[in-house]
Amino acid sequence: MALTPDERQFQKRLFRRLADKPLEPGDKFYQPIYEQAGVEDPVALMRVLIELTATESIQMFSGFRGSGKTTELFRLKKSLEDQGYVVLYGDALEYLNPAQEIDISNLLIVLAGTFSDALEAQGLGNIGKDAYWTRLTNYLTKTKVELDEVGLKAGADFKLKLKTAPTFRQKLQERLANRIGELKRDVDRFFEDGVKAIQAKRGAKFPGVVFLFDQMEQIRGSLSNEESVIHSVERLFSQHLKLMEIPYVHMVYTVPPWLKFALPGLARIQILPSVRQWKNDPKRTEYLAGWTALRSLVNRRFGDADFQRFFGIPGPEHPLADRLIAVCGGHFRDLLLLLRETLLRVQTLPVTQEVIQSAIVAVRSNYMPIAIDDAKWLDQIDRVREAALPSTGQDHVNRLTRFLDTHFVLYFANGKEWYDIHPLIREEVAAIVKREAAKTLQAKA
Amino acid sequence: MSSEAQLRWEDLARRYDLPSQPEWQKLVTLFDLAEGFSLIVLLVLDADAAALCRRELEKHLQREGNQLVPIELPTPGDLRQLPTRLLAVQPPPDTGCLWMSAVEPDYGNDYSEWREAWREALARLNSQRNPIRRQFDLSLVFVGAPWLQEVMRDTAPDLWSVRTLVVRIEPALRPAPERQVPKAGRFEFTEEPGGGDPVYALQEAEKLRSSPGKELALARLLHRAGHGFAGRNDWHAAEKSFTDALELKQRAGAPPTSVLATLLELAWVCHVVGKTRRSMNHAQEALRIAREISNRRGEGAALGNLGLAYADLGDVRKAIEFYEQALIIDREIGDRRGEGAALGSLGNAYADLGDARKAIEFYEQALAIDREIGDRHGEGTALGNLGIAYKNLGDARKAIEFFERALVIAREIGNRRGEGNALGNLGLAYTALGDARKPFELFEQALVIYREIGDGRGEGTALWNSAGEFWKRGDRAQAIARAEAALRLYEAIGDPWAAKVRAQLAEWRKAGAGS
Repeated sequence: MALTPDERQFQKRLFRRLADKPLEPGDKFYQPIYEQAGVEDPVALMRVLIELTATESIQMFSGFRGSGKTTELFRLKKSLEDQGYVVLYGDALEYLNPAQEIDISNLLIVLAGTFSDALEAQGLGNIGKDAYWTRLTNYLTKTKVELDEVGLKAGADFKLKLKTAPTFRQKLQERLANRIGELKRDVDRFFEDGVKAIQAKRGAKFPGVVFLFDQMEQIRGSLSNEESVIHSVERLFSQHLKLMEIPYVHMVYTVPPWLKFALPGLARIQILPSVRQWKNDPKRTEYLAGWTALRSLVNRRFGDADFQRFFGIPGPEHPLADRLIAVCGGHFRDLLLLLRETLLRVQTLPVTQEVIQSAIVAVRSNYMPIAIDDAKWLDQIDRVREAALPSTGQDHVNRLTRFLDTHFVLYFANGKEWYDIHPLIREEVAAIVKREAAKTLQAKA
Repeated sequence: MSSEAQLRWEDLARRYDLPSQPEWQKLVTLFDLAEGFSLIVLLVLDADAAALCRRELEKHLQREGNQLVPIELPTPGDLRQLPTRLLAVQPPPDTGCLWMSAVEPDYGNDYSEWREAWREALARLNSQRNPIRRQFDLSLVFVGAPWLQEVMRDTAPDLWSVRTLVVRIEPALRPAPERQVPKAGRFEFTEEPGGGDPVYALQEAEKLRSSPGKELALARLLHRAGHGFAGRNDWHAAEKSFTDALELKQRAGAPPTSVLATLLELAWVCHVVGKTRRSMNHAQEALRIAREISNRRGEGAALGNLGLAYADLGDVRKAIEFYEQALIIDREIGDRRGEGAALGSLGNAYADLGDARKAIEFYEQALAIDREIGDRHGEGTALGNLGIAYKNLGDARKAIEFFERALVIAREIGNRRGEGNALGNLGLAYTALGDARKPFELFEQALVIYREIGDGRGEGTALWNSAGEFWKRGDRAQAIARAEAALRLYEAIGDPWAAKVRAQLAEWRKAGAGS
């Protein structure tokens, strides 16, 4: 049976509401699920840390793919601005090529340049005539690093060269290798001038300046140089963290989540966890707060009346909606995917159990096939609820990160960190491991 | 368009029957509903399917006043340049989607190169996810073979995380209302003739299990047991023995010819028990090895088995390509048995395409070869297939003659599966003659045999055909029960006929409820 024209319009309206794009707080579809009681909220923790730390601090924020980092970063921005902070935002990828190695001199230059552009864009501070890029050119001239020596002609776009010309970046890096201390002092002075300029504009009565430096986690190289690029990021955080602290500014870096495994001794990284729908016990007892948060998300996207029209009875609790929520793994993006699959398949309203089931089957197939070796590791995670990382070697870290990025593995943090596998793959993982165990037994017999 | 090209399009359209596929409906619904950026991953079996999807989507978009804008990727080199080319695209305002298609099946000669090219392109696109989302206010459609999903998931996790939809398009179903059992010719490549007593072979194998250094000997015995089980029509036991043998051979570094032999056996056995995907994988691996060691006979057998797998999936044109390649090789090396199998399979393929006359030509050639070399099994197969062809031409009496001759041979040589097939096909021929009683008996006899030898597809077919008889007789409950049982069997082995049964069941249930 086909949908009536009116139902088709309804379907169209709903589908648009289920679009997956970063939302800013205040958007009518934004549902602050991490703010709800009982749900772990790393953003709130970062805000508190910033509030409690005088003048400056360094925060590292991370999350796996599809966890909604950018949206949550916007929330942090909003909540700090509500407290009176001046919050500036910079996108690392506008200045850095994610496929190239990064070193501390390039990073410091980009930090200052991004900060400068953000100040200009927001009309904050009277530094327009001495934007960082001009200042850097002057600095290089002053320190006798000739511009043509590093491959820059007068008037050329410094930003563009940094991002697109590896030889330029490399030469710059070589020339500045012995001048890092000097460069850092210059960068610090620029930030200090910037903060002063903000103060001049805003008056002395504001709690502080926060700089969100987003997308750094994207620096991971290409297939041919992944290893060396990842090492360069590791080196940055293991050897130069101190240089990444900026005076008078609370720095928030978004960092790759694998840093947590590769550099376990590093300062605490706030990782956005999956919304917890079950407790860490053998039976995975339902955890109501997580369910409530995810139900509220569905309800927000649908609205009360449309929820009832689509599912047949009023929300937020509904057995069919709950079937989708039960298999989303606490990832709102997976939940949206399941809802879209359902919506595209619907032929009658309200939606039927068969449609829900076929949508689940379709999304489950996104996780297939699972390699035998992967299944064995996943099975171990399933049983011990830990990462079960055999070593901090790059191969193992990469594999675990891949599991987490693709949501095969879920990360939870409620006091203690723990891990579990995605509900959609539990049966398949168990079946593969069982089959393999039977083969081993047979071979031994 | 030439008439041949036109026919090819028609055949493709018929084979895929896109409008009836829920996955296709899902895709076009998305185009009706979506606004702004969306990322679609379209998985198809080969370039033909991609071309068909493109054509149909173009038509759909045109109706809405939009167009499909392709980024052509004819070579792996072009695919590698995709990120640069995509970001440079300035789509016209009426663009409905950007279409990026590079479909190389995993059995293709250039598969490795294409896979690497996709990996490179996707890894670079991954780091451009946000710019891409900002730049394009429309749908991006990435079209590839099924393995593209895994590659995108692993190489481009950021891009993957914002996918709007994954669509899988496979061939639709043959529309015949009743199911016949054509007998496939077997593409043989035996490591050792005969097979003997499989139980004894297993007992001997047990003695070697805990003896280090005896792995290859053990594998040989398991292979022999598999052969023996196949000879007894115990297909599941055969599959298990061959699988164990293959694992041992691979682990112990057996010579490629030996691995090839077991792979080909497994490809055949999996075909028989309806595990089509597995059969295809084994045949592909066999083809790779055969080509690597320049083993022409193995190559011919692997090609033939690949054809069978494609035919099982409903992709008959593709199957014909493989059979023809096998036939050339068999003739080149003078393999008469292989030639007969290829001819018989070509006959099956043309029968599937509805060309019964051409099918009969091939079957007669196959029959002549089988008689010439004294292959009784092949002779029975050819006779059965001739029967089906005549039945499809409307000559049920002539069909019955052939089926009866096939039945005699099957019983004579103890070919239980052939016996089941002949009985089932006889049942259908009597149905065509309007006989109300005989079909029941014949389907029941076939059912008993299929169950005895563990042939899931055959059992499903016998149940399905008898369900039709019950329905005609007015016993709706029994018809539905049988069809449900058939559906379970088809679903268990992933047989595409399941959808046909499902659709029929829905109609019957509706009719039952209304009565």
